[in-house]
Amino acid sequence: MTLNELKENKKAKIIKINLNKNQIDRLISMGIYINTEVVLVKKAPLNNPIEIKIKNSNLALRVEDAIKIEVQYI
Amino acid sequence: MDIVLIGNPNSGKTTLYNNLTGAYEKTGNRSGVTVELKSSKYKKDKSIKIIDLPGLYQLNSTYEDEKIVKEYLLNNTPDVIINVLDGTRLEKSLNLTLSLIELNIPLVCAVNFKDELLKNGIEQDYYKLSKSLGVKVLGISALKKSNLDTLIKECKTANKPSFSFNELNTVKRFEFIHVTVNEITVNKELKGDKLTEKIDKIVTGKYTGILITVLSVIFLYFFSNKVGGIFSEYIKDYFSLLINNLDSFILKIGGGEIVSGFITCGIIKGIGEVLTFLPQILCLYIILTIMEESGFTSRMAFNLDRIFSIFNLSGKTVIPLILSCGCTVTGILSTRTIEKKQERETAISICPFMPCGAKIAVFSYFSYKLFNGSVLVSASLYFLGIIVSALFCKIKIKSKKEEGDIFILDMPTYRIPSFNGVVRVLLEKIKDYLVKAGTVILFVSVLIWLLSNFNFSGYVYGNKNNSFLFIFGNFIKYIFYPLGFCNAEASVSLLTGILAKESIIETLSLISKDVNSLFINKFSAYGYLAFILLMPPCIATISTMNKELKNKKSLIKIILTEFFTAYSVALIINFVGMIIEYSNGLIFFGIVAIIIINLLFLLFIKKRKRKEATKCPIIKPNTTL
Repeated sequence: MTLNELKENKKAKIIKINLNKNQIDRLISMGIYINTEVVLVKKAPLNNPIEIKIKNSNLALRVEDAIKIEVQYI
Repeated sequence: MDIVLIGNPNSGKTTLYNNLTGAYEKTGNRSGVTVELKSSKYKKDKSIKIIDLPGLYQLNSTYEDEKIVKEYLLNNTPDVIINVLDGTRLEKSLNLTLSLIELNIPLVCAVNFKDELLKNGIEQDYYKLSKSLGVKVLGISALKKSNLDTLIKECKTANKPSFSFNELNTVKRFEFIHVTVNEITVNKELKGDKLTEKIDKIVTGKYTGILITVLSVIFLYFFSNKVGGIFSEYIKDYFSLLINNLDSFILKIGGGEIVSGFITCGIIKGIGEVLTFLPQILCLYIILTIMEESGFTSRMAFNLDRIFSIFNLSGKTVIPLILSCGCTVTGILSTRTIEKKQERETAISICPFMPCGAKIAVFSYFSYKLFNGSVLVSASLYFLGIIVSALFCKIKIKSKKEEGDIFILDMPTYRIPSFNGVVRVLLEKIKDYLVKAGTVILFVSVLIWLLSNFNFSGYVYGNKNNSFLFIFGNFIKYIFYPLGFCNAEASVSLLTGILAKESIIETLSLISKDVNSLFINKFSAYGYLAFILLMPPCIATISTMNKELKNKKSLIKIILTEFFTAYSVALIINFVGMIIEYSNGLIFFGIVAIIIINLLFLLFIKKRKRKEATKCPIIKPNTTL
């Protein structure tokens, strides 16, 4: 299951990231990596981007990128 | 002693900087390698210099603004680094901290937002954290100015980090941070977040989000135009009066026409023009700064990103575009928040297509003189600017997708901006406008006065048709023959428009008696306005672009593109005008109808083809038989 397919407010964990090195480095710098707990807060009014909550901070990611992050519910 | 502030964006670093150096103190601008860095003296001890570096998430970054931090650290040796951390997002903040520890420079960690944590009953044991990290950690509240003296005291005795975290891989690092933060924190849920969530139910809500964003843009725009406009009128009237009185005064004391002209029409008029825009810019910035500091603009970007991504831009472009409707210089300066280089360049390219305050003044002038003061003139030109910008983004050749471009938008907790902070930002931005736009406009005003009042034989004495400007105009007027205004007055006014758009009005009123006679028909006049909208921007904007792009080739490309765009659009408008005039209106509409039907047909076919393509799986050719 990918990040954008999460149901709102249900805790999940990142299990795999299918992006290139630079993109992953960027995610890491924002505190996002494998085993990180993540929650989907909401989708934007036009369904893109999506707002997620990681480590007590809220971020927005585009669906095109979220679809490359695999997650599973905890 | 040199102290450098490093931390994530939105960590309160700038508030700390403001409160350490004194809110109204003049900020020194030291030229960094690529951008001006803010540095100032600590207000309680002038021997200590505080340098504020841009907020960043990773030291080894491909983003221009973040590279600056590493460059600075390589080229300078600060005595101490203060790492400002967001206490409400400690785990996230510690990522950067671990990278800073690797630099082996004396480091002090200042965990900010102590006041918020206290309010929510959250306690963090910084002594324990110090032990785990091997650097001194203390809690501060930049806003409430709490513990700042202790912070500086710690800097004086700061040591290089005691241990290194180099051997830890990413997963282990994250684990370490997670475990450490858990160990030092009592009570983990923050109530502040609940309030932010509640507000966001409306601000980014499914049905209310777009509405709120659109309303705020409209509010922003009308507030700056109407409220600012009132003060602008006062200033304009004041300067008219001043110029008249000064003129009669100088003539009375025997100064002569030349001296009076130079002072009143050159200098005073130039200053007047710059100051006339100031109230609108001020109003725009007050609201915008509050939106920015409170965290509202992130939500705007969040709501609009989908629309902007159609044009290969992001939601962050909305602010530069709004600002460009006031003064393009400020719009271009605000593109710094856009991290992706290609996106920033595109944003810088389309900012000039927005009608800035000066252009609107020109449009109003023409609307009054030629179109019965119709509001449609300016309104339609806004749409034209938006359409051309959209086409520009679409047509622009997409270079292969840059590696490392992933759109991540930070959505910080809503915070009430500090009054001092807002004032300080305002003062800086106004300084930007006055220095960057103001000096150029003033210079240009004097220059135009000289060129329109002198020729090779000296002062022209009211016979403007003999001036340098006019002579030159007669040479270049042929360029504009296809656009329907082949005359010196219109051409040379456009030329002065490269210097400053308001000059177009000035020049025209100086050298032309009847503006109506300059154009073959109303379409050609509207085409002239479209040309002014899309043509290369004023010198103040060009010089700002030059500084932001740092690439002369890109700059020249943009200017040429703008000239070409302006010319083509004006040409089309004039052409359309000629068809309508010299033929039966019905034929014209017939042609337009056929073109539109064809376009729709093409679009429809394209959609169908795309749908079919996704149904059939792509069969890979067999490599072995």
